Amino acid sequence: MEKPLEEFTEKINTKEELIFYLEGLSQAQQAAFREGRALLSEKLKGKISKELKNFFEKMEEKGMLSKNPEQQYSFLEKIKKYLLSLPEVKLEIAFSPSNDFLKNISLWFKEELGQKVILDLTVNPKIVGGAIIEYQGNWRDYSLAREIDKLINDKLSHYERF
Amino acid sequence: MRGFKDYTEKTGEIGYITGLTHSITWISGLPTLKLEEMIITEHGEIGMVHGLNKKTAEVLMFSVKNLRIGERVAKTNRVFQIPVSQKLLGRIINPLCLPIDGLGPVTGEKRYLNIQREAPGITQRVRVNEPLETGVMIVDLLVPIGYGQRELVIGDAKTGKTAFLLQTITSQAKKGVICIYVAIGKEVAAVKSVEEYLKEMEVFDKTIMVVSTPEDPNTINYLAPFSGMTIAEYFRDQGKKVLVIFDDLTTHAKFYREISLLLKRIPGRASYSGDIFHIHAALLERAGNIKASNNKSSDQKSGSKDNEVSITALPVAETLENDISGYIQTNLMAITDGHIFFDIDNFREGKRPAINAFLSVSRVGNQTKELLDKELASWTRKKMAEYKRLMEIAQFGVELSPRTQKLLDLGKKLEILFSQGIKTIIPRTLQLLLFGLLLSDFWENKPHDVMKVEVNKILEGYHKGPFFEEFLTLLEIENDIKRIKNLKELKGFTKKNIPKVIKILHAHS
Repeated sequence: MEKPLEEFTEKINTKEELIFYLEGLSQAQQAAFREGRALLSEKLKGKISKELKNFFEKMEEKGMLSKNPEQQYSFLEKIKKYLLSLPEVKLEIAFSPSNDFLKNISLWFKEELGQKVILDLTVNPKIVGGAIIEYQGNWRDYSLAREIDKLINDKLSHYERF
Repeated sequence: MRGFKDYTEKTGEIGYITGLTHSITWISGLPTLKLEEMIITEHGEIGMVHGLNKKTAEVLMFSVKNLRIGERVAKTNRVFQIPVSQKLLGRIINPLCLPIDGLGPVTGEKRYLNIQREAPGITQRVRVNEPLETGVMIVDLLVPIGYGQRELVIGDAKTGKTAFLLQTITSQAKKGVICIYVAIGKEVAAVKSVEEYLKEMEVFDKTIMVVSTPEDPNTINYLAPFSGMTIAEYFRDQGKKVLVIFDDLTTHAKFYREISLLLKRIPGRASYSGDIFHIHAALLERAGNIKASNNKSSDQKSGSKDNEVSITALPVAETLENDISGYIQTNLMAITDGHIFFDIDNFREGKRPAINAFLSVSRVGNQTKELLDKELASWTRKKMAEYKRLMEIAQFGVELSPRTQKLLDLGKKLEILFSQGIKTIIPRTLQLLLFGLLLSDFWENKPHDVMKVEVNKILEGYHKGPFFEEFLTLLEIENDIKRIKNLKELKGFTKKNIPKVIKILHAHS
């Protein structure tokens, strides 16, 4: 993978962020044909996010993004396809996480799974603490609510015996 | 049964419904899902895995109430099973074994059995060697069936197929055979009339009705024969003889065609998917005569019938205007050990039952018959063929010789003997007596109407019960008739017993 693309995907941790950047890329695709032969970063000046603009500039510097509108369009299409192919991890947690927390979690998954993942986050205070994780059909409940339930059930069954 | 949450925790896997058409869903996730495995949705709907693709699984859902795209699904780690119990007797259930007769839940100890089971292997199988009495004279004589046989009942709609099957159930249930009637896509009114018939004949408590109606999802209709067979296997494994009726498999094939088309399987002949033959063959292969697994009486001879258990299957196939060359019809004819053909032309001529004995076949039934039955069948077949040929000549209005007229008269009398009401069950001994009377010229020079009345009188006498003299006389004759070995003896015996028969005929007149 090209370094600028890797740096760009590093910035995408959650599904919301993914949707945001996909919208930006779609917008860029529409603009590609609008102003004839010009660099994409110039065509989209002030219309897209800073991160996307930086990414386009870096790609243009490397010569991977020419002034040809057709080439620009197909390049953006490839990027979109790549982003959509990233595996998703569903994460249910009990609190609203900070950006740093999300970055750390994302990094941890990358290290554990050996590839970049997109976090589909759900905040559910009912799980009290911990997390419920889903990845490619595998489901694990590491929530505090489950532990509490288990504890109560064990105690109840213990008393029922008497 | 546990719920969605328990199964998710137990298996550690989750899936999502990604596609939905009627009762068929496509699910993603659940990486270790297997074929025929049961799945459960978060709303408690259950389904069975029917196919596995690279990213999705095709699932047949048995309820469509709470299904929606995005719904979470859990696997259960077990093959689809139904709860079977002894208490199913006398109940009307759906293919999921849930009662639909309004008599409350099925009580008693239940065993969960796989809906798809492998058929018994060749080493377990035993030759079909015991006749199964249907109580319908034309079948018992000319197209005999044996326990463990798979005999197709084929014919146009409304030609009396179900009536014949109900007569067979009545005859067999009274002998202690467990009867399972599987109605596939049958109208509720038709099911109700079957129920009423069985209740009237006092055999309902020995019968299980597995019912699916056109209002049910096609997956439920698809499941029905497999449920019926699983229940049959449960009773067979308890050492009982079982008779299972699939009414009808052409409708079943149509439901499977619908499922296959929705699953985007490549349609074959008449748009049926190619595996329909395999599905029906695998189902009917589970029937048969096999060695009893629990060798209760090891001192018995290995060939003894007490060491055998059987499932006799009578699948039904519907035809259109006597066309037996349809795809499903020919498939079923190839799978089964013969067929009983209900001829619409016979029906229109007023023959009841409308069975065409010349186009009916029983491949293994004849081997179960005694010499007397074989002789009688051969004689009858010959006379009926002559009668049929002469009828064609007689319709031109030519003058007929006395011999021809006699043959025509005999043919007509055979038709009278074979004509039987749907509530009349004629046991073998009584069939032999009636034929013996015909052979010994008891009805010689008597008008056909008189013969009809006399035959009915004898049958009525038999069904009157033990408090009537006619019945006791017939019982006496019955005991002796069982010992007869050949046609000559039968002729002699009936001639000797004609005074007794006359006594029966004049009992109340």
